Amino acid sequence: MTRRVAIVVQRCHPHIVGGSEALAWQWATLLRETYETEVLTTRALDYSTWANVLPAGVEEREGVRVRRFDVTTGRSHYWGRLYARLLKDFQAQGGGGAHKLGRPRFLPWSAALQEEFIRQQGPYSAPMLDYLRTHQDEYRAIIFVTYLYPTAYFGLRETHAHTALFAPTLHDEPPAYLAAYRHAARRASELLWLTDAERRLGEGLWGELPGRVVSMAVETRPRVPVEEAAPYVLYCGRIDPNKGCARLFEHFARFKDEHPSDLRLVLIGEQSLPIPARPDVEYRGFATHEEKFALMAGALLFVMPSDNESFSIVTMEAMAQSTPVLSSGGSEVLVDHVLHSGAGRVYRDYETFAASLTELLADRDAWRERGARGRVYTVARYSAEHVRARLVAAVEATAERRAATTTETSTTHTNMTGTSALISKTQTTTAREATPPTLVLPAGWSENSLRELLMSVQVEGGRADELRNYAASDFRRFLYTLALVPAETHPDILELGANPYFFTVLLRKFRDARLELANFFGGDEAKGDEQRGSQDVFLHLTGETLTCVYQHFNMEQDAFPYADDSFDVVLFCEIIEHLLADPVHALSEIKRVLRPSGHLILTTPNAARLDNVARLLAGENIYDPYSGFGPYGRHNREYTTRDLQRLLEANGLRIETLYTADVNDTHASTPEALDATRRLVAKTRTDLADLGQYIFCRALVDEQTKLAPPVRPAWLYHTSHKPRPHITLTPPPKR
Amino acid sequence: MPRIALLTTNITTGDAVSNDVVGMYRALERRGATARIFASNWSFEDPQVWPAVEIADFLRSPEDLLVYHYSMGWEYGLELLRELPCRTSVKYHNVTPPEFFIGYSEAHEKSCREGRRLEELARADCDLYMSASEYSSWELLLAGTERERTFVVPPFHHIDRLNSIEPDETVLDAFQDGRTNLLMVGRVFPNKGHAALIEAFAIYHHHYNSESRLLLVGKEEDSLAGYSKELRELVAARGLQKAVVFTGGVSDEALKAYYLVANVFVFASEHEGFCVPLVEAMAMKLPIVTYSSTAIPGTVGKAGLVWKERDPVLLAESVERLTKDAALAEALGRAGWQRYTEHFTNERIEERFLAALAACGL
Repeated sequence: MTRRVAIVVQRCHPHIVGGSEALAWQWATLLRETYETEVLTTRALDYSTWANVLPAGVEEREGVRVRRFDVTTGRSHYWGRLYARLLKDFQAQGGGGAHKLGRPRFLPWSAALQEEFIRQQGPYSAPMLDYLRTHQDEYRAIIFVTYLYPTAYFGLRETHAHTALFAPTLHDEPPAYLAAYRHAARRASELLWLTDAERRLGEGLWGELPGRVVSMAVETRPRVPVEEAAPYVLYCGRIDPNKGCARLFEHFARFKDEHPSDLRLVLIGEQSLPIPARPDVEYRGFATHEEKFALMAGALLFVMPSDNESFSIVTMEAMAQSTPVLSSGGSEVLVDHVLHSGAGRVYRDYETFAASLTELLADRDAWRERGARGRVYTVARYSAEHVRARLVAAVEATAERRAATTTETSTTHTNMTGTSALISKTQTTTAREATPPTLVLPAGWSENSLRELLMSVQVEGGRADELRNYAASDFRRFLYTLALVPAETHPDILELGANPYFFTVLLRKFRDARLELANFFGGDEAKGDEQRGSQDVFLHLTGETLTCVYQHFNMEQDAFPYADDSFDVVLFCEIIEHLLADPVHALSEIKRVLRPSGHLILTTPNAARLDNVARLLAGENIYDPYSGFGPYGRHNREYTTRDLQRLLEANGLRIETLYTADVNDTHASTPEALDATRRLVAKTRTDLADLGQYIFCRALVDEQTKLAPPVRPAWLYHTSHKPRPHITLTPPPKR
Repeated sequence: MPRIALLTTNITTGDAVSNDVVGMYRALERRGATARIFASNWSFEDPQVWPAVEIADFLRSPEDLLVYHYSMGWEYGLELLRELPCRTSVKYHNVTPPEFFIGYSEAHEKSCREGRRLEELARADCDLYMSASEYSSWELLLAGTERERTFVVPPFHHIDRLNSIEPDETVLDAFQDGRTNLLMVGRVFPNKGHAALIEAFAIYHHHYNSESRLLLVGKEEDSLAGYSKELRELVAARGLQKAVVFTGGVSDEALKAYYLVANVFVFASEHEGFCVPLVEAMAMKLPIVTYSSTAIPGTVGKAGLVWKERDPVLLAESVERLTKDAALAEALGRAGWQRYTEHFTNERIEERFLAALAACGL
């Protein structure tokens, strides 16, 4: 297949400082090392008219071929009036943010009026669209940058879905509430997001879409710190009330008045706000590129007070210089950066601001450690190499899908509006999915608030710090699992292995279900008789107490203490890998207690996860260590997606969905090793979708499959008889 | 090099006949052919129109070609077709059956009765017959034309112009107000099924969505005042005075604006030779709900809801479904747009026109 890749963007010229234009050019320069890279753009320089001023045709710039096309519809006063009409209608329906309530409220405009708005906004280039129509097959992939303009909107319409990638650079702004963009987004093979926050916004507005966070690269080369006489907190960027600088000045002055020290606030950047006349606040004007990095490297702390950041390049740059950060909690993107990296703290008011500075001054080593974490995080995510690797992976995934679908008739688009369920997947002919679905959060809950909820769970007899760590690291696994539980009905659910009840909490909160719980803490084997226990669960965040009553039995030996056909859903999560002797016993009991058309939801670590592949390649061992809790405390047999598919299908379970997904950043291998491994795997097989940390599976039981006898396949059992383990167990924890 | 004459009775700015004739003329001009438009009445200067009586001076060689755009009875046109010493062809849109006008207009009835003398057209034994649709083609074949010489060439239209002009914003101001707009475009003629549409709209408005209106865009003629009056009486009888809008004839700018404010294109016509407004709706991604009759199913294909039963409840429920299910409306709108781009853009029509000419040796 061709090695050419094109990036479509509305304008392209070194003098243009726009964000999406800069992103398009950065990606072009990252891709040119792997592909013959082209930028398809217009002759326009000025977005207020999109006048044709640059020469049409082809030019080469820094190894990238730039093709410029005539703008045939620029921007007129007529568009200005349409825009005013859009704003008026947007206000009339109560403004934005509607997507956060779970159901986006789109503007009540006809498709024709929406397209009229987009076309008249310009730059609309009929020759570019002709070119895309006739030349798209010459490209391995075509990446459309920025959702707003006709270049992307109409370009996506002309391009086959299996060739198009779409980087919307979406903002929560009135035009985003035109449903036409939602339809355009569905024409792309995949979406490329800058941040998780953008992805959440996009999926709130457009629903579930295949995609990945590719992000943009920042400068990560470490610099020599400046030598300064006294320690300082640094801010870089526009000094402007919109960036939260006024509040920053107040907080800093008050802190210094209350806690005198030699700490200073140093500011660089364009000034549009008076700077307090204090000896401990220094405005240094503009800094060169290198001066800026040296100041970042030398700072005790980098502070970002803005609530309106859509990526915050400077914060990432400071983090790359190993400088810890203190950032405003008003920007979702910054909160994500700080929480995911551990590179510092978030402040919401003076008290939290002052507490962080006090802690910093008291324990500089701990904060130096945070700075180091920030660098690891930034390099792993935002170094040019990593962004390039993600871009290349996206292009290759598209090329693979295209190769796989060339024999099929055509790609169809489903029109899904299902934001009521966490994830609504239409049934596909094959149960296997190339990429994990994207998480959609329950209405009214942010990812952070949900994580906080689970991290506040305390179980009777459990260790608080262990539970918190468990909740934090496996939080996304719970969300993926929750998404598999049907939302519409009022099911009877059996949750096997419920302790420590994180998932029980989610089910109680977000599903209207009757719940039965089961645990096995070891002890005398083969009890058989009904044994009940109960544990109290405290939710510190809400002050609630849940009493969790459970049945106690061994899932691979005992008959489940439930009648036939008792449940609509059985959750069998993170258990099968612990079993010692007979997983098929558990499966056949699950089938028995499930009603016809009931669902088994199974999750388990993926034996063939990227980290394991990397460790084997590096000569390391992937087996789970022995556990102080006994044989059930360790993973005795992990599964791959293929294992699981074969095992379930052999036992008459019909797989509805099966995919792998990463749920956290905990890997034994370095990010570099993981990347190298991914590239290596890409050379030996086309399917890179099976490398996620966990396998998520939902399978259906029907009248017929319930009758299928238990099958113990030879690849899983050496002998066909049913072995009975004779092992004395001490109570293992769930993990 | 043969000369080509495009002949029609009347040609006025912006109507369907002139859009088609001018479209053919431009296509020939682009090909470098020597072509002229001839008519007995006309109302524009670009392109130039020549008096029909001068056509014999232009078509002198047996190699020359007459394209007679046939849309109504006109003895002189038939004479030319029979007598000119050159190759001849007919472009047949369709002629409304006269029965529709009984009781409304004797003049229309008479002109349509004369216009439906298709056997005479067939007897003229032209080198080429072009019809606007499969349906019209079938009428010609029944009248006796030979299949080998009978081609479907949809009419050229003004959709490119609609796309490029700015809409009349007073229309946007008046009707882009959150209410659901059902749109019908077509002359207020008795074959267009206005009454059936109003009946269906009455059900929709009273039972499903009182925040709705029906926009009836199309010229009204004094000669058909009886029909117009009946429609207004029906509107009043159904209590729809505030919900049904008769716009009369409108400019292209206003027409575009009506398409921009519409949510659904509804149509109940009982006789169409092709129906350009359906294609305009497709080009505008407007979902279509229509009864099936004459050329309509052929024009819409699968890109709209086309009901064989003339059931007003079905029409009303279809509109309800489309206005409630945004994904379905979008999918149907997109299907229409795809059908337009694949079959009915002026470029596609030009290809079919030139292919038909090539089949008769041009």
